[in-house]
Amino acid sequence: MRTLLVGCLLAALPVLAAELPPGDVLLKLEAEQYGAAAGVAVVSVPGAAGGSALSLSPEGMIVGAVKLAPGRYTLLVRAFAPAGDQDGFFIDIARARTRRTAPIGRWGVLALPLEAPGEEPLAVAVIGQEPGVVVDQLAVVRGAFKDDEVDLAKLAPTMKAGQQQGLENLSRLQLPARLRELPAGPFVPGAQTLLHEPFESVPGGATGRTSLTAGKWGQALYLGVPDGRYDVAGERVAWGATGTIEWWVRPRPGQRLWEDQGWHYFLYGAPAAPDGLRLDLSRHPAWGLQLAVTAGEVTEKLQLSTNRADPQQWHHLLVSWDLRGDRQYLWLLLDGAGLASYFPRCLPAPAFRSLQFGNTPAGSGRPWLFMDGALDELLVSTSPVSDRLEALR
Amino acid sequence: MRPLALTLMLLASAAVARAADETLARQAEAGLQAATTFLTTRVAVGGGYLGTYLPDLSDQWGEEHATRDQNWIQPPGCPSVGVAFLQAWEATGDERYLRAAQQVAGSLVYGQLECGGWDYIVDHSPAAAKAWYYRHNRGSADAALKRGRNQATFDDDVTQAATRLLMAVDRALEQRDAPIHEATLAALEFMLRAQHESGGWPQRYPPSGHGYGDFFTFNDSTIADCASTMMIAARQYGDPRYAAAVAHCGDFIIRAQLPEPQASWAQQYDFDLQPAWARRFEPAAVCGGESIGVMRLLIEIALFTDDAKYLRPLPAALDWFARSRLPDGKYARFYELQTNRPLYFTRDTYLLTYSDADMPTHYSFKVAANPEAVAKTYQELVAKGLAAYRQAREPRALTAAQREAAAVALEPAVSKAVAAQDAEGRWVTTSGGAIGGGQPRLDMQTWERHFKTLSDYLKLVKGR
Repeated sequence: MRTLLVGCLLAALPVLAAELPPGDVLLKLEAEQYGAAAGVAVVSVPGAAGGSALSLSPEGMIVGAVKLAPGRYTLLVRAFAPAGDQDGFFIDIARARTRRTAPIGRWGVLALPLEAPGEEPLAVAVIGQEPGVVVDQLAVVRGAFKDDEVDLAKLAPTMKAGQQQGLENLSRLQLPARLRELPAGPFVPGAQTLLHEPFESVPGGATGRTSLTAGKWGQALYLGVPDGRYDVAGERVAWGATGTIEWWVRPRPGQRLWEDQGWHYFLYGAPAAPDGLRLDLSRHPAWGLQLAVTAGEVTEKLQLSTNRADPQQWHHLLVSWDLRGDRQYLWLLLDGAGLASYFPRCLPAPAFRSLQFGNTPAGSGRPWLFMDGALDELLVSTSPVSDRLEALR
Repeated sequence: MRPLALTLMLLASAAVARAADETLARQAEAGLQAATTFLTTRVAVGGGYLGTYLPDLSDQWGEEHATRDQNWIQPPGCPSVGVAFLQAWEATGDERYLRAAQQVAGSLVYGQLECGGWDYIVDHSPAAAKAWYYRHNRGSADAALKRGRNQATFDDDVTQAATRLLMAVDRALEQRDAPIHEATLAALEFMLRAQHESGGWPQRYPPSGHGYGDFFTFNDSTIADCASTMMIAARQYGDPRYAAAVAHCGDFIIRAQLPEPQASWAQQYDFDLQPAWARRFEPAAVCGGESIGVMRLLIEIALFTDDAKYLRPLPAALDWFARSRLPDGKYARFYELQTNRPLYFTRDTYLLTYSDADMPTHYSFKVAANPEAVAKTYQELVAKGLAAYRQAREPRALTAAQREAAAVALEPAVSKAVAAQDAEGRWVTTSGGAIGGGQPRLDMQTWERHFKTLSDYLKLVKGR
């Protein structure tokens, strides 16, 4: 998800389109002002201003905020749909959502009326729906316009790239993280191992439709539709302020889970106490693969794109934490690559009542959100993953 | 009143009515001619059409905003305008309508993808020639013309409607237009190729390897439109492969029926024949909406194949419907596998939930399905048998009295259509189509309705 906050004042804009009176272009953004991010990829498309534009996946989002004097404006979005199943996306204006479709096979400028109620910044978001729709430019102009009435190519950008902040000044940050190497064979339990489950037979804790199937190594546990789940009782594990949970998964290839638009649960860590640490790992088109770690009102999140994961292959998932100091750490890795997050101390050490794999948390009141696939080689250890990571370049 | 006086009065009123008929028939014919002239000389691009235009033709839409150079395939676009012309030709015998339909077919031939199917739009602009790999560019030496999109869609009755219109024009022309005849057979070959070995049709073909477009799709009657197109093809061309495709589709539907106690169907299936997620608000679930159409399709397949095995899924499916009605009388579009609880989504976040308190408004998460009508048809079929039921519903030639009665019944609608037409032959409305409410427009759905009304009337009056 890409988030951008732009404060835009009414006056003094440098270059104006021939069609628009001076001062009426309040915001104009080019795709080149963004980098690649989860759900938003810079792609080269003929006809895009500057040659490149942003391709939105279902979990992609471009967010901005404009500060406008009361009045009527138009949000303009220059967009392109490669095909009829790659044209739908949403536009949120002040949380009111409209579904629009980009022109198929050509560039077009979609116009949406904006009503600025007052001096408060107005949030505007372009949100992916059907994968592949391409957005080149965004603009906010004064007055009412129809689709394709304004040539955005003639409006000069009105926003400069943001200033860099020194990392040392940031109290919280997310950075790429990568394992030096993926486990090359079945896990070998060590001194730090709290739990190792190779799934060579159906383990206790397997509920609903479950069966054995061919695994990454040996056998694996298949969790079927709609109610298959594997629960690990929390009392089997001596939880601590540091720890790692890692396992291999292979969702049923035919469903194309890694790129689909469904909501699927991989892991839920149920707290032993009501205000204890809760751990959610699920995939949803709005956020991709997301690790949400919650205690009371506090939630820390890490989100990864999974669209490039091969549905035919086994994939390694790893969740890790180090909550010891004033600066706390979380990691989420898919196939050894992902994100590390640090933030000021806000989370207690975990004490999970249970770990639940592959379906909706028990007692959550939610519908089945099945992974529909196999688990192999589960390992829970007291070590944070930091010692196994490549150094940042 | 004396009998003689009464007779004279009845004769006089009958004569007045007859005169009014002839006047209205002349007006209807003039209306069709004027509308056709306006469409073919002012609106058509490459012989084809979009769905909605501003009255001065300064802007236009299909399902979304379109350029002047584009035709839209999804009804009420190109094929359905062609059908309207054919109806007028059949009603009047006037060749101008057949020529107009032939031009629409020509636009479809131009826009047929190399694979044999169609995308949502046909673009006649030179710049678009490289965006799609059109079939007419197969022999081109310019490689750039062969790199464009070449994936057809069965969504929204696109490829199916285009194929049906080509078949109808090919029949009307008695296969004398070689490009149209050849394109029609190519489209049918494409549909045979697109049918998966399981018997289902995907939403898109050829498969992309990504997303739900490759999956077997009941949503928006995708499979039903494919099967009904194949039925028409089988009757028209007699190729046994078309009939076999229909039966194969029926076999797919039988296999796709979910197990008891949820013996209905999902909206979409993956290659393992498992219910599949499609868009983020279309979960892998039992479907209370499309399953009505699936049952109707099974009935049609049973009648077409004369094989009652295709009716066997119905009792269990109807039983599921009887158990799944919501307290408000409607059905949820989606029901959870195993629990059969209705499924909904939250408006802003698209989270799957059991609650209907905060649903998005752009999609029907509750539907007014009518399984009772399907049950009634099924009971009639069982009582009469397939052959007798089929025979009973075959159209019969009307007697002169029946034709007259039907014409009289149509007259208010004909008068309304004639009165609504302006001097240029246009029907200008303020509703319908893809643009905002209240704005005057030429909505092709409205035009098609008026064409049908006038054609039906003229057919009755002319006794054709």
